[in-house]
Amino acid sequence: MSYILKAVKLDGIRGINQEIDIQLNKALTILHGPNGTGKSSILQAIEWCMTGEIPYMRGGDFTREDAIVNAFTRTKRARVELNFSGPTEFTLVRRKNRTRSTTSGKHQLSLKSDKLYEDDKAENTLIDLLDIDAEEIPRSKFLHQETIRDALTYKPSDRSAVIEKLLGTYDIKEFTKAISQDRRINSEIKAIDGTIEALKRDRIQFILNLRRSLEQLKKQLLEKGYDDKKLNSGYGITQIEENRKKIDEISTRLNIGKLIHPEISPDINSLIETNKRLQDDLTSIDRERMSALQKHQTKIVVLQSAVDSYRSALDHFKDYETMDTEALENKKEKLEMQLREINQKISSIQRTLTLFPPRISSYENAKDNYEKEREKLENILKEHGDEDQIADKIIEIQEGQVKVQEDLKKFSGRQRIVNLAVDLISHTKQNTCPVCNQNIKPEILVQQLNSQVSTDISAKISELNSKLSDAGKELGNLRTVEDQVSSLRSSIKFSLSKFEEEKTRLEELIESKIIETNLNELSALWEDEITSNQKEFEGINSEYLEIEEKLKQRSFLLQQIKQSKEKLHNELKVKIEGKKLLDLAENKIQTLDREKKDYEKTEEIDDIRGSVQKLTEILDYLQDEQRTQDAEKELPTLTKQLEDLETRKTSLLHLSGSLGSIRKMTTEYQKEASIEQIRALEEMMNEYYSAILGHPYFHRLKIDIEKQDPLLFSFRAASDREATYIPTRFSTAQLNVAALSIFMSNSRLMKGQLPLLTLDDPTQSMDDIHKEALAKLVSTLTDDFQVIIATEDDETRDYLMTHCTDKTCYELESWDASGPEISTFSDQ
Amino acid sequence: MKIKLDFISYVESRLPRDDDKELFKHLWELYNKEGPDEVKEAINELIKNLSEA
Repeated sequence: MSYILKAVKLDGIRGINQEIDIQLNKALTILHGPNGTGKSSILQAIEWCMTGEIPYMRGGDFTREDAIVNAFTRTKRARVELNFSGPTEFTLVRRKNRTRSTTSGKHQLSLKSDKLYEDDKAENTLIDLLDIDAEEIPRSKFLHQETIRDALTYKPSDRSAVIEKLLGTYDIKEFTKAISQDRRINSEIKAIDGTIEALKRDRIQFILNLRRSLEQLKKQLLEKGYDDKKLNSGYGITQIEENRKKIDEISTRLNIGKLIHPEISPDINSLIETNKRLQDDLTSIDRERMSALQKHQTKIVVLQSAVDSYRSALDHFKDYETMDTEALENKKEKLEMQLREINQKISSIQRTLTLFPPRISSYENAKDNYEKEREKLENILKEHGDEDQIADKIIEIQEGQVKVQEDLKKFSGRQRIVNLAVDLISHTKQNTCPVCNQNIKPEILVQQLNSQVSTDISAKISELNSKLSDAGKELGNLRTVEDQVSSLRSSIKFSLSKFEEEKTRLEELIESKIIETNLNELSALWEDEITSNQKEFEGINSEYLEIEEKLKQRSFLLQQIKQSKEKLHNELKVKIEGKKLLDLAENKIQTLDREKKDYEKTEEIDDIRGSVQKLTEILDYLQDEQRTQDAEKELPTLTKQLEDLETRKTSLLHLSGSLGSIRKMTTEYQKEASIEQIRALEEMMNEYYSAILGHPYFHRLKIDIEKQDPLLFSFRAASDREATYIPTRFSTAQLNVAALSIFMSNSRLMKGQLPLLTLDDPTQSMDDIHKEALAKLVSTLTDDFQVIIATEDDETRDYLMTHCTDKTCYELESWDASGPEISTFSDQ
Repeated sequence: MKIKLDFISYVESRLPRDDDKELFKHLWELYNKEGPDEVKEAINELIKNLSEA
């Protein structure tokens, strides 16, 4: 005897936000209603209560929000109660409080039969009572909308996943995928290999190279003649101390000053520093030595120069000691005056000589100009008479002009009268003369007047005009002459004045009257006078220069004696003079020369420098030796690091091998289990497939392994002669039929003590024929199974109501914040 | 959910080394409790530990 799910009581789960109590039919229960009214929530609640999970609600958003507990429920918890009847009656209750962040939060399970079981014990009791594996419950009792939807997709991996879920191998495949981490492991191994390689190359090889270089350096030092026994810090300390002593001795001898030496430490770096300090001391001493040498050299040169100068000046001055400088100064002054006078004289004559040619030229030009203008005036007066005569002529011409103008006026009047008479006669044509009343012929008269009378008058007028013109011209000429005479008289007056002026200037220059002087001889006379004065100047000047030279030489020697003596006094810090001063200076020069020779010696400094240099090489060697030894101390650590890395690498390889072995086994299992399951399912699956009217030609379903690693299944359909991929030939309805067939055969195989089938929207995409075929199949299934179907489809509901005898139908009509409204549907 | 016993015994019986068996059991248990992402994370952690030990 099996178990029946009698009733389900649920509150605050998924779309259900109030307590609902649904009594289930032992054969068929239909949950019908539009989308979103809570049908699937009821089926999900049953599954959740039995398994603690709702498939398809894992990962993604479901890890961030609680999808189990209803958002509007007052109790803030989900509770599902299932009542089972059968060999024993029991009640299964699962609860979960709302959490803010996840779907898979903590929940409690209790099973009450003859006693109460909690959590794991409740789960184990349920499994024992129903006689079915826990993992088989979801795939054998609950056909989800999503399962059908995934079966209908065109993505092979999703279709394969549907098969795997129905076969119960989906988790094994997911597990196999999850442990496939070869790429990550290989990447880590590669990184470790890189580190090992770098350690070997950069550190260990570096240390070995250090040791090799050290040996090479030692060999070179020995070849240079260094003693092997001296290659230690003790020798370094002794050598530094010896060199210090020598440096101090030199320093004292050269009077350079005491050097300060730091304490000697046996540490190599400290010895190197101390030895370097010695090099600095040597450089410093050498610099001081060079400076002292330079100073001595300068001082010797300065003293010697002063001595030479002093001695020379003293020797020469002996010649001037008896000289009467006062008499010589007086004589020099007198000569100087004479020279000045001669010079003035020469300058004066030279000035006259220079000015004479332009002055005489100006004088002659002025004279010439004056004479020419006077001659010109005389010629005009000769031709036209004097100014009074010219004035009389002008008056006479002007009177003549007046008379001619009066005649011209008279004849012009006559001509006007003739012209008027001609006009009158021409117009009046009179036959009588208006003057003499004689008979006339007007045409002849006009002709005579025009030709004879008018011609005579015109000739007279022309003659008068000509006279007038001639008189004008003559008058113009006389006025011009008058102006010329006036202008010449003014010009002559000016020329005479100029001539007188130039004459005076010339006479002033030559200091005599022109009339009494022969101007042509003057230049030669003056030049002779200059020559004579110059000769006299040279004679006096020679005597003057001789006196001046003597006085200058004496003064120079006195200055030289004074300066060189002062220099020697300054250098020697004494106030003596003469031979005593010279002897003292000579002695000082000899002393300085001896000291200079001491400063010139560099052998000792060079020796110490050589010693310091050799010690530098030894200390460098010792420093390298210490570095090498320090580095070699790292070797065990490095070896340990390498061993650790090798161990890590081995562990990773081991892990890789382990995961590879596990993967191989899980894949093999999946394959074997799938094949076994498919074989078990295939016949049953095809019974259902035929019953729900599968493909008319491809009347058998097959499940094939499409790919081995990772395993990929494919639905195929076969006729007696050929097989085909379902998606290429099947309608979506036929694909749905195939998925239902697999599920129902699975359910039959894993029925256990609970022959329960829940189908969520099983007829999606089906036509009426297939819906009715499914309804008919369900009617036969209810003999062995308790079936719960959720559907939104009216035809499906109607076919089920028609073909199934024992059934209950609930209508879920609407949903709001207060929960779904449920009523019982009746086909009566 | 109980671990599928024939799967576990199938794999265990074919793994030659004991530590491989232990590893498999541990990972399969983790998969059943936490899912595939946790298994991946656990292996990554193990790789990290082995790499940086």
